[in-house]
Amino acid sequence: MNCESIKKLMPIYLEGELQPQESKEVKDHLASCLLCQKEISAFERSWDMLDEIADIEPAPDYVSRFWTELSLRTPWHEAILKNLSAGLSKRPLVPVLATTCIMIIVGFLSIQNYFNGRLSDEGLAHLNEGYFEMVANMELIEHYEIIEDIDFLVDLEVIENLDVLEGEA
Amino acid sequence: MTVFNPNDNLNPYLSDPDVQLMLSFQQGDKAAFEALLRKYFPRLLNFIYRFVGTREIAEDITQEVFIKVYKSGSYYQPQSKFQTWVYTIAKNMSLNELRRNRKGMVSLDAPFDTGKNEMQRQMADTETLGPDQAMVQKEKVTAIRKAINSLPENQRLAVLLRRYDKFSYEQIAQTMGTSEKAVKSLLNRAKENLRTKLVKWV
Repeated sequence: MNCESIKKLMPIYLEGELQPQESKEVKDHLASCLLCQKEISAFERSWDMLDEIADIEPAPDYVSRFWTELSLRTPWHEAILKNLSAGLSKRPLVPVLATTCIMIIVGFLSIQNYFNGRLSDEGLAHLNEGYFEMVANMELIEHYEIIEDIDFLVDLEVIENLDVLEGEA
Repeated sequence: MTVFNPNDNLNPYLSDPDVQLMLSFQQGDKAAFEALLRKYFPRLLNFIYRFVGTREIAEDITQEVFIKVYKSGSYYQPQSKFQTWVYTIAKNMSLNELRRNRKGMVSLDAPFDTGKNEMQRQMADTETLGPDQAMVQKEKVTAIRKAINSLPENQRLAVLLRRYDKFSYEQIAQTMGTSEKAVKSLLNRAKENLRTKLVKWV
């Protein structure tokens, strides 16, 4: 292999990832080529130089910051559900849940009764109004057939003179 | 606490202790999540910082990574080592940030924004150097950063994962979603680029 071919293999050679045969060829070439020795040294040093950049440290309170940020982003209903499920996994909450269910059912029934009561009051009020109107008109209804048969134009004179006619009779 | 016995299951990733911590968290163990947070936050912060070049943005992204991990807890299924999974999330978020906010990113000619007086801490043993040597060292660190920053994204990722996080070719390939052969090729080209850009300093 010539210097150009060896140069291409240098990064892989430095990683120790060449096949044994290729690795031996590079090694043999390097032993006798000063130019390639300088080249591989440059590869090695430029790679090692990356270590001169030290790590940065996170803020000392990064853990508490994380939990705070997370709590700010968690919707309230999600937080309640999570706490509830966490509570359920830790201890039995059957009495609490049963009481809650009973309270919900009682509340629902109370509300239902209230609305039913309002509806029946309204119905009675409407019925009373119709009832009293009917009672007021009862006399008219009882004499409906007589009233219906009266021919007002013909019988008006008879009605006006009803007392006289009764006296004569 | 072992949630699943690796011998009882064919999933090879269940033997990863960090996967076990994640599965414990899935069962409601917040301490397991915090253990993962403490173990990986500093490493990911550095990985993201070296990739995006700005400390403030790196801190934000690192926090977002762990919020995503936390929220994934309920439906997490181990399909890789935890480390590979969390680095993949970090890589994707960093790439998204770079693409969304290219104008806001640090110039290739500028040193990394490490925060107040951070540059001094970034250089090893500057206290033992004289003023001239300290200046030279500062220039050198800036040159190294510029060299890393000027690498194409894929080469930069491969270099960071290999050099600083000590990933194997296989782990890099999984994190980057590519083949091991492609990773070797990326690293070769990256090393040639670095060697060219840092020729003055070697």
